Amino acid sequence: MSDVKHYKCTSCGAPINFVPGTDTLVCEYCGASVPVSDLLKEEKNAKSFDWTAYAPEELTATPDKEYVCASCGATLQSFDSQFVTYCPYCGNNVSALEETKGGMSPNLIIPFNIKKEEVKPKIREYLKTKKLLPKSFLKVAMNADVKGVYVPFWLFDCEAEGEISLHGERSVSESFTNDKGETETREKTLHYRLEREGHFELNKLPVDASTHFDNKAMDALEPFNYSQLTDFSDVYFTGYLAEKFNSTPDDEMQRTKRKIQEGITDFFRETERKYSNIRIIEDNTDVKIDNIKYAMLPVYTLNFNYGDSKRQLFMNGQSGKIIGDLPVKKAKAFTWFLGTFTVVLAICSLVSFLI
Amino acid sequence: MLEFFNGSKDYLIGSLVISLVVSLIVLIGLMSKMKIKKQAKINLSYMDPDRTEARKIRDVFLYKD
Repeated sequence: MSDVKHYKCTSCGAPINFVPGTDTLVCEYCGASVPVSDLLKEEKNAKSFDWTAYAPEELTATPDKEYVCASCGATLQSFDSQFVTYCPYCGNNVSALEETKGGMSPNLIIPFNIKKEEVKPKIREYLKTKKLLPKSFLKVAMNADVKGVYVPFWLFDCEAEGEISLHGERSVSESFTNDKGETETREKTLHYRLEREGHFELNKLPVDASTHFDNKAMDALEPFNYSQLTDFSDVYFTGYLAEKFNSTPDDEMQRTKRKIQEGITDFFRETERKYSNIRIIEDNTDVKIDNIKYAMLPVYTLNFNYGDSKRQLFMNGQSGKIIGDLPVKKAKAFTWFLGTFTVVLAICSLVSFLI
Repeated sequence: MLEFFNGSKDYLIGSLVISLVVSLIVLIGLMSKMKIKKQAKINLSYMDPDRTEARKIRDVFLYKD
């Protein structure tokens, strides 16, 4: 069995937890605070992920391990999807460094910025803006547990170079003579193939590295403010859960290339203002990966059952952005449709009366 | 009902069509807010503008419709 390091209050021995939005850890029992910088001096650095020494066969999940909690002596099981971050028996924080040996320590981390107690009020305000949401959903969501999780991401520095063909459209007005001999105009759409060559560089393109989180949801939580990206330390894990990666950069390459293509398409939509409906029809760019960093990004999750289905709400733990697939109450949808229809019809009636 | 539309059948039909279209747009808008959606142009923000450039080769007209 392996021993683990603990972060505990030097005054009373209770667990100390990182306080979001600050650079301190606070003891939840006696209130004593410790600057993060003091603990960073103490820790030994595990070997961080190194892209230049990347060997795909070495990037496998670490096997299940057992640890002993130095505070209460309980046996802690490390599962291959999560870092051990706290003892479920005595609540003491434990260090994840033991599990990050072999070059698997994350390189970077964005610490939580939103406090856990702020999550539910923000979610309540968010759900109240959804006009078609059943009232019972809000009630169920407010009773769910909030979990703060550091989600693993690969941050790609990459470049794409080569030729690319895009489809673009332009609208023009065309005059013609109708059957009655009158001149009329009509809108026509001209379709073009735009052939371009270019060099595109993207920095820290995030791709989530865990199959336990829906890719669409993790993409929708962006952006993360990288000015708060800092060197990894497991001090920031205190009080939170943390997932290990279980999807390698090679596994995520197709998705990365798709994101690069989306970036290139958006680039041309911004620069080729003469054309609309721009989309890629042929991509002959070569993608070269310059660097990959292993980063932990903060996410709050709410998981609960609503009716027959499992529901999840996610909050970006840095910016507070909330996303989730929400149910629609059909009666509310019908009411909105009928109400809008009636109001617009009444306005049209008034207008036609006044004409 | 025609009397509410100045006795004109065209006004009535036009008003019904406008009301239907506006109601559908409002409903579709409200329903789209209930689903997970990625922010538009987010991947553009990862592009380094100083090291990104594109050159035009040619624009080829395909067809008109």
